[in-house]
Parts: sequence; structure tokens; C-alpha cells
Amino acid sequence: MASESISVTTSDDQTIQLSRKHAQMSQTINSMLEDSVGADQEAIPLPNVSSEVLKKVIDWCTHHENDPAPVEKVKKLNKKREYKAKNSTISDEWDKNFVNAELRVIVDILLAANYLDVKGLFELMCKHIANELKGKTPDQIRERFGIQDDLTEEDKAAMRKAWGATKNDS
Amino acid sequence: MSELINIPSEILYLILSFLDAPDLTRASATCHHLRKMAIKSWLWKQLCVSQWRDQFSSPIIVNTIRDSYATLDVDFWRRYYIQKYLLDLRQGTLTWTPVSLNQAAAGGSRLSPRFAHSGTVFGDRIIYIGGQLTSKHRHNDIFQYDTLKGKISLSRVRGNPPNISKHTAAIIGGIIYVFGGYDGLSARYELFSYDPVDNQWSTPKTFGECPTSRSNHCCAVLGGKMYIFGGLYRGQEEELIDSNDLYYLDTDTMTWHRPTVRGDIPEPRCGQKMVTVDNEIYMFGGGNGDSWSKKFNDVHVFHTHTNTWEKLITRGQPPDSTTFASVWSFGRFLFVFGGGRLSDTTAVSNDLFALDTVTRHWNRQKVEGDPPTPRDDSTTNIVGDTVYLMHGYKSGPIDEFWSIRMSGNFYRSVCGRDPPKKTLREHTNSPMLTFSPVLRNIGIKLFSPLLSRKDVQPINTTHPDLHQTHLLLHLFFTCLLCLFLGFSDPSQSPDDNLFHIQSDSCLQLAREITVLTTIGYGDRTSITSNIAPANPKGVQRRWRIPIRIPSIRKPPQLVRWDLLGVFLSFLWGAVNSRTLPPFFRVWVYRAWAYLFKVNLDEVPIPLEEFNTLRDFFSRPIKQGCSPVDAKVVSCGEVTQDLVTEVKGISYSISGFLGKDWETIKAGINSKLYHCVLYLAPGDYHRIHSPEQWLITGRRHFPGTLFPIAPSVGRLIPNLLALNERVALLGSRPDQGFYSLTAVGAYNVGSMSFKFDPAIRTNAVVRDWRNPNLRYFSMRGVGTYAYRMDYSHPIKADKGEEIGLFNLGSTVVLIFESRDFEFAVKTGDKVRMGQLLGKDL
Repeated sequence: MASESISVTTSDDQTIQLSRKHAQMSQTINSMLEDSVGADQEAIPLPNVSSEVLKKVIDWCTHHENDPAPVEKVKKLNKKREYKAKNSTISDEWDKNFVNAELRVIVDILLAANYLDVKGLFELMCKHIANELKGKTPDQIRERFGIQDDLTEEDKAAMRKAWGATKNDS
Repeated sequence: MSELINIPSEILYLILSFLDAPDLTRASATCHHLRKMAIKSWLWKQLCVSQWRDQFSSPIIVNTIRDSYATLDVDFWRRYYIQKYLLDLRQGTLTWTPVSLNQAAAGGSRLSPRFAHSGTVFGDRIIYIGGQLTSKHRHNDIFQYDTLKGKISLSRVRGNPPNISKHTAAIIGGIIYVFGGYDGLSARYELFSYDPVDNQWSTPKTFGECPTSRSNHCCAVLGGKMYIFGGLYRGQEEELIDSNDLYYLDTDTMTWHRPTVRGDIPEPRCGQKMVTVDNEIYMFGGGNGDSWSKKFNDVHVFHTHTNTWEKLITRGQPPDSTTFASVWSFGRFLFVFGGGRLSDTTAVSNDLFALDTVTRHWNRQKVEGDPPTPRDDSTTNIVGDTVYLMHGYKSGPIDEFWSIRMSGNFYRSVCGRDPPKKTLREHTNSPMLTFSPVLRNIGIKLFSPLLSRKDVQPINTTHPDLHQTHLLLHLFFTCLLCLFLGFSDPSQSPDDNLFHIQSDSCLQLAREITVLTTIGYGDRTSITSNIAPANPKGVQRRWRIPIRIPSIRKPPQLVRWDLLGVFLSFLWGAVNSRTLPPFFRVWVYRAWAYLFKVNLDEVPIPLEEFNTLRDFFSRPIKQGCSPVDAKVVSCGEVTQDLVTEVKGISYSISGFLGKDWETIKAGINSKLYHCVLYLAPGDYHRIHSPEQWLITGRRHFPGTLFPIAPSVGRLIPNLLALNERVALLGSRPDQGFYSLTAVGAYNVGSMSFKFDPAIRTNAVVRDWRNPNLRYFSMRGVGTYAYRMDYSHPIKADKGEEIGLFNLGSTVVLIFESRDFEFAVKTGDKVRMGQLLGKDL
């Protein structure tokens, strides 16, 4: 019988306890647990995730612990991706608050979610960043994401024209 | 460095896959990294699939969409998406434009009515060979149409082209190869070649098995080879045989080949067309049998690398045209115009269909503008961004020359570069040098005594001496005009616009003089008779002034009306920007005011203060003038929401301006005024801007269309807020909120606005698919609006025309002002431009 809580070591050498249920929402930790049955006492090292970010991830997991497992759904989505328009609206109110954070944190969570393989969180973060990109002019995007403008004027002129072609009429 | 760029590519792709096309394009314009990612083919492929799910839905179709498209061209799916988007969902991608052959007058000749000719593109020119007027009368002339100059000229051919029609022509390596054809009597032809540079017509020597001479076949060029398919030929016993054999001429070795073909070999046919799309030959239409017992509208593809025919399984609405259609391809699309109808064997079509060669989906293609006469046996050639459609057949040869303009965006998405700039300005687009009715009347009055004199006869221009007189007159006027040009030195004027205006008029002048000189010299009668039929409706001839004197049709040429026009309009430009001497000014402005009924009382400063006539035109009047000719139904300050007038109309402002009123009301910090102007059916129906203001948005309220006459207004309270109306909202510099609302009425639903073609009022079918329909019907009628906020506010200058009613109706002005004094009162008749009142 495995214990109810699992300890992990983050990149900044902190040991954090989390419940088994939450840990199993991460496919990465889950497979590690399955690989090392009996070695429960040892803390699982997570060298790519900082404690600050991990706490955020646990927050999310706590809120979504009762959600139906997204695995099946995601598989279906992947299969049908080509024929389905992607919808990036975030429906959950709690999620909306959750993503309301600094960009650096968002990206860190995204990377952590990718590393830990938490499907729902990963998708949420992708959607959020996509929403941030939506409806903005290139200048606004650059400002929002602190991107350096390394395109020449000619490139931009070409882009503007292309943009004119795909611009939606209101 | 940005956090976004640190994200691994595969995650970034996932993020980007949530974006739609405009967002993706914008994202790609931020930096190199994102750009590289955002033009990735599969992102766009996914967008295509989700946008046109019905066309991509069948698994067969999706499987046949080979990804080789994307391996050859990394940008393929993005460009394809844009092409499809423009053709399917955007308006104005293709526009029918009549090509005016009036330009032929500028030193060209005319292509007589004909059909079954051939057209081949050579550089900027299209070479038209042969064709026929009747079955026995066939042409042996070769014309070239210069698309830059818009001029058709007859080539002086060396060698002896026969009377030929129903042939095919294709250009390979600068040489046009003409194959097949018939002279209508006895002679049938095989291969000719024509060099468009030397104008040399010759019969090349070929090797191999030359196909039997035939007509109504089709040809296409791929990789230096000319492919010939099908057609009609005479067998040994002079019987007519439809064929389905395929030959090609290798022009490197001048050898004919007859490949062994496999696959779904098409039925024997004639009257079909072939074009090349992406290294494959597409064949469309045709028919066979006695009196076209069988007609086809199917598409076959010939894969040249395997010599295989494939019958395309197409979906969507196949074209209702079969034989002798005009077929061309642009980008990934195959276009089919005209041709004999499938549904009605005697009729010809003027519909345009487009086949998407990726999804194999037929669509009826939307084209802006009026379509041309239905026809078949026409030629289509693409030069730059224009498809030229020359002549054709509709129960007789026709001589209408049309073109389809492709929008710059569409051209760019296919060719990856900007459309070539044309030096030629079409007659329909160029600003016309026309006379105002006032000027014309003055002209008629001044010159009518001269015109009615019996001794001034219309000049026979064939008389040599008169030519001399003309030349002298031309020279004289030219010199005069050049003098004027020399006088007005742009550097003296601080106004930058001046120079542009003059260089523009220079150009126009030069063109005018060329045209006139040529006309003066040519045989006038023959030119007019030549031009007249080629003049499509709606295209005005500029240099003719209509003079309503029945006895003399044309003005005598001694008075050069045309030059007078140039001269006056030029004088105009020259005078109105020149600084006038002060003593002179008052008189000039008075005269102007008299002519155009300017109310000098409105001018706030002394007339001498205006330096130039132009300053006077744009005189800074601080007061509001009437936007229309109308009767003032009600005007005054608005003190409460419900505006009531004893005799006129009552309405509530909040109901009238709808939901926006709340926000507007919050922004108003001085007094509010209103003015209701009723247009009787006989009044002038254009709406001009009453003030200089910025239009920031419009609200279109669909509603009822009750008569608005004051008598009805009394019966239905709040009538103005029920009827269909378009409110333009904006602001005036330093006075605040300003709005102009055009209210429709019984019989008068249709209004149009110059700057906003999207407004469609009085639509009989009122967007039944609109999810918000319930807001626009029954109880909500007149309360909810289609909103539109302009991203760039539209600047309306005082007096500028902004729209029109098609019959009488009502204009309501509601505006904010610190203090406004109306110069009119209820019941007054006002004219357009008349003073309504002024800001104090």
C-alpha cells in the first residue's frame, strides 16, 4: 500500500509534499512511481521545476482533482485535430483567475506542465497564450511579449499586404 | 530575450494552432522566429480544413491532397488559404470591367466582330490571330493588343497567313505555333508558326507523325511541348469524326509524338479546352455527336509524366457550360466562363465558375460588377492582374471586349509579388473632365448664335487646308497652355498640393492634346463610325460636349469645344491657386458667388482677405449649412428626452439614437440642439455634410418604413424612432458631439453612403439567418442597430457629398454646441448649403 503523500525535490532544493492523487495527475510522476514501486520514501527529483512554479501547479491540480481524466478526450482531439476548428476560449472562472499572472510565470508553468505532462494545465496555458496573441497588432504583440523587432522594412511591408488579404471584414 | 521565444518550438506550434488566419499573420509580422513558425504549412492546412470543412470533409479528398504540395512550396497552404479566402469570402476579388476600345482612337485600329479566333500572350501584348465572322467569312489578319497602352493595332505580317479559324495557338520560346483550323471552304491546315517580333508567318518543317488536320480541338503547353487533344476531322469519305487522340509537338526537335495513353481516356469530343495547372493538364467540357447530342462538363487531368488520363471526381455545383467555354487557370483555381449551356442547348452562358484543384470542388464564383453578354468561342488571356476576354459568339459574332480585374491581394497571393503597375488609366476610372451644368449653359448661350448661323457649315475634315488650320490652332493652344504652365511656379507657393495639381493637369493636358490632334487629322466620319459601336454603355466620350441644337448634330469644328474644355478647366486650376490682386478679388468672388448662389452673408470676414479663389472655396464658415434641400419640420434646443413640436413630429432622442444614447449623453457638457429636415419627393436627394466633422461610427437601425409626412407623424407617435434609419455619429472640432441621421420612409428605404458600402437598407429579406433577428422585428423594431465603428474616423468636409436617398425622406441633425442660433424656423424651406444657424 503506497503512502498518501509523496515528496518531490524541486530545482531549488526544496522538498515539497503532495498528495498521491495530485501527483498522479502528472503523467511524468505517475510513470516514475510505477517504475519505482516500494521506494516511496525517497523524494522524486524534479530538476526542471522550481518550488514556486510547482506550488502553482499543485494549486491547479487541487482545483481540478475531481475533473474527469482528460486522457481519453485529448487522444480523440489529437486524432481529429485536422478536422476540428480549435477553440481557445477558457470556460472555467477559476482558470481565468489562475492564468491572470505575469508572463514569466505563465511560461514557466507552461514549461513545467509540459515537463510534468499535466494535460489539462498544459492546454490551458497554451490557450491562454494564444488568447494573448489574438486580436493584437504586431506592435502590441511585441510590447506584450517583449519581442525584439528584427524584421526589415521590406519584410514588414510584405506582411502588411498579406495581412490585408486575410483581414476579416466587420 | 523574450519568454515567448524561449518556449520550445513544438509547444509554440501548439499555441499557434489556436490562432486564426488574421492573428497568425499578425503574429508572423513580429519577429523572424515567430515568422518562421507562423508560416508553417500545417498550421495553414489546418486552417483551410477548419474553414472549409464541408469541402475537406470527405476522407477521400483529404487523402488525395498530397503533402507534396507543401514539399515543393513551403508557403503553399498559406497562399492557398488566402486565395481561397479571397475568392470565397471576400468581395471585390474579381471585378468585371469593360475594356474601352475608345483608346483605339489614339492611333490604333479596331478588331472587327469575330469568334473562334485565338489569343496568345506575348509579353504585355496579346496577339489575336484569325477568327471568323460567318462560317464562310474567315479572317486572315493578326492584331495585337497592347495592354499597357490599351491600343489595338493591326500587325503587318510578312508571309501569307490564310483565312483561318477554329485553330489553336500556343507560344513556346517566343514563337507562336498555330495548329489546325479551317478556312470555311476547302482548305484545312496543319502547323504554322508566327514570330511576333519579326511578324513572320511561316510553315515550319516537322518530323514524326503529324496529327490529321482538325478544328475545334484544344491545346496546352507544358515543358516546351504543345499538347493537342481531340477535335473534329474529316475521314477518308469526308465524314466528320470526333477524336480523342492526344499528340504533342516537341519544339526542341520539332517532332510530333503520339504517346500511348492509359487511364480514363476521355470520350471523343470537340469544343473542349485545356489549361495547365501545376504541371498537369486539365481539360474541361466539349461535346460530340450530330448537333451536339452529347455535351460534357467534366474535367479530365492528363499526367504527362505517366501519360495517364484521370477523370476528376468533382463535388459542389458543376458549371452549367460545356462547349467552347473560356477556360483559364490562376493559382490553384480553374475558371470557366461562358460557353454553351448544358441545361439549355441553344443558349450560351455568362456565368463564371471556379474549380478548386486541391479539393476538386466547383463553386459558382462571385464577380463584382455587371457580367458581360453571354458568349462562347471567346478568348481569354491573362496579362498581369487582368484576364482579357475578347469578342466571341452569341447568335452571331460580337465585338465586346471585357476584362476581369483581380484584386491586388489575390494576385499577390498567387504570384508572390505586386501586380504590375499600368500606365494606362481606363476611361471608366480616370477622373473625367466634365462640365458643370452651369458652365455648359453659359457655353450654349454664348455660342449658340454662332452655331445657328447658316453659313458656318460642319467642316469636312478631308479638306487639306483645314488640316492646316487645325494644326495651327492646336499649336496655338498648346503654346498658350505651356505658357500658363511656365507662369505658375510651384516654388512660390507655400501650398504643397499645388504642384501635384499642376503635374496632374499637365498629364491630362498632354493626353488631351494627343487625342485631339489625332482626331483632328483623321477622317472624322470614319473614326466616329468606328468608335461608336465599340463604346460600351456607361462610358462617356470626354471630348464631345452635348449641345442640344437639333439642326446641327456636331458643333462646327472652327470652335474647338473640346479644347475650350481643356482650356477652361486648365484656366480654372491656374486661376484658383493664384494670388489675386486685392482690387480684383471682390469682383471675382462676387461673380463666383452669383454663379453658384453662394450666400455671401455667410462669409464672416471681408472678401479681400482671401488670397486665392481656392481659399475662398474652402472658406472657413463657422456656421452650419443645410445638408439637403428640405423643409424644416422642427428645430431648436433639446431640453428633455421627448421632443415635441406642435405641428410637427415628436420623438424621443434616446429611442432615436438607441443604446448609444447613454454613452453620448454622459459625454455632453454643453447644450444639445436638433433639427429635423423633411425632403419632399421632388427635392434634391443627395446628402452633403453640413459641417466639418469626423464620423467615427454608424448605427443602422432596421425598422419600419412608414410615410414620414407630418400628417402621418401626428398619427404615429415616436415615428422617427421606429423607421429604418442610418445614424452617423461623430464629433465636431471644439464643439463636441455631432450626428446626422438619415431616416427612411415609405417608398424610400434605400439610402447609400459614399464611404460605407456595407450599408444595405431596405433589404426585403432581412437577414433571416441573423441570430439576433428577434431584436430587429416586432417589439424591438427600430430599437436595435447594426453597429460599426470606423477604425479611422472619416473626415467629412463641409459641403462634401456623403450619401443619397433614392426618394424623399428625412434627415435629423442632433448636435452639441455651446450656443447655437438657428437662422431658420419651423416650416421654412431650405436649400442645400443654405445657412441653418451658427455657433455663437
